[in-house]
Amino acid sequence: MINKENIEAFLLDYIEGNLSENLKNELFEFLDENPEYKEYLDELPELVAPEITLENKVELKKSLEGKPEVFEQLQENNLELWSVASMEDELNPQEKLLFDRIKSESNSIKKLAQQFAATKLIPERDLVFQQKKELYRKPIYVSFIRWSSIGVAASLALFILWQQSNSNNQPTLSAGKKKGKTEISPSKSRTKDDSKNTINIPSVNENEVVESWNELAIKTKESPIEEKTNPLSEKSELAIEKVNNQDTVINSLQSLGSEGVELAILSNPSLNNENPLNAKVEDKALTVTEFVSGKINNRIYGKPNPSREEKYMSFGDKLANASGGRIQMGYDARSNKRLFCFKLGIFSIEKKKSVKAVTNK
Amino acid sequence: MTTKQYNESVDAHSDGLLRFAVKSLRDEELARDLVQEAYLKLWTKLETVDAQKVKSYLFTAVYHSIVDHSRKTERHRNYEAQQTTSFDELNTSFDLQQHLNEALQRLPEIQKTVVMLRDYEGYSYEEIGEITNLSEQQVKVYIFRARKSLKEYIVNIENLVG
Repeated sequence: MINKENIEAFLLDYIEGNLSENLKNELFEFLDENPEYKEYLDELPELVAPEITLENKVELKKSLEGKPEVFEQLQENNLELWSVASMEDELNPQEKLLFDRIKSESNSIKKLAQQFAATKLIPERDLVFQQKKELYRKPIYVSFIRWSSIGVAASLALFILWQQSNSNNQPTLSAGKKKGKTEISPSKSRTKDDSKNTINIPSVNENEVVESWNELAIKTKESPIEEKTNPLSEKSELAIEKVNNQDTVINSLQSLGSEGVELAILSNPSLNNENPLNAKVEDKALTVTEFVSGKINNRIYGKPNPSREEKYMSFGDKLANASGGRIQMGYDARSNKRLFCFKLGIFSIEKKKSVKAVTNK
Repeated sequence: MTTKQYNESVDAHSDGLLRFAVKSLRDEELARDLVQEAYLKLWTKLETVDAQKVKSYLFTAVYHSIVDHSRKTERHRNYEAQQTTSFDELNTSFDLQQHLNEALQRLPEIQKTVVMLRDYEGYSYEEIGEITNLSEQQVKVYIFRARKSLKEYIVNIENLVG
């Protein structure tokens, strides 16, 4: 219902064309009855939009294929775009026909299209990755025998613990020896092989529990002749005396972190069937230039000798393979150097599943 | 993804990855390192990577390593700056692929990357966008600019050699 209070709103709607026919009739009836409002129609200003238009708005449009609509309008200023679209096979059949026709009519456009077509890169097929075999992986099977042997060993360890607590006897079981591992052994019972400066889990005091690394053992490699005089050897020997847990082993590794240290990384004997690390692995031992800040996010990092990189790459793959990725060789883009690292976190988890044995001197 | 699929991906993609890395870095040894690094990364993530997307995963890994390396060594190429290079250094004989490779090395990194992924590997714009973290439209723009630059380089040499 139009009245004197809302007449202005109706007038505005009328000017903007927003009134229905019924409301228009109602408005005119009201103006006839109240002619003083008729002049409002003449007084309302008429806004005229400035003549500003967006050029090339066609380029903003999208066709159904998602291409700019500009492809549908071949013009002199977009010939390069058409040429690229043609070589990229982005033209639809009609566009292709059109472009082919124009090329046939104009040598310059034909040449332009040929020049763009010539920018198509051709892969150099003779450049191939020749060391593919080094990238291959073998599935790592956890054999029943392995786990059963761990189970037996764990039962044995528990039995020994129980017996010890009851009888206060002093068992002399060595975890490493029980597992038939020469690389993890009490320092008192070091064999000839240990002269290669094995990092050992040492003999410890009574009632002290040693968790052996039955997955992998790491040993430094030095000649027996050098061992007596090499300060590095003495250093590791000192470390061995203190070793009674994994952290100490890590620390002893870090303490060896000086130039010229060679590490031979031996695998769990139970993995030998699958293990590409064979007896010759020591021939491919890492020469470590330095250990890098030791334990970072449960990993220990080292820098191998850069002069023997080729060797390390294949060796690194074998290591990763044998250790299920727990020891990795890699390239650190930030430092632009090769690194290897031991994932210690996984070691420690698996360590809990491994043998616990009470040893004493 | 299984170990078998992993090994198949070595056969299927290691060559392409190497070519991509070599052309990007111009250092074959480093390129091999990055390819090995990509496969090592894949191996550690084997259970989470979809076998259907392994190629994209590997190229993305190599691409990111290339970018990291370029940032580290400040080897970004600026095409405009390179335009001032004297043509005197160029061979007088016209070998299109050779000159195309020269022109490729003068492209900005991102243009070089997208055009190589396009031509060497036949990736779609969408796939290139996934690898390089660009929109499809941005990929198109970079490919167009790259082609234009390559074309201009070749034409200049054509004119020079006559």
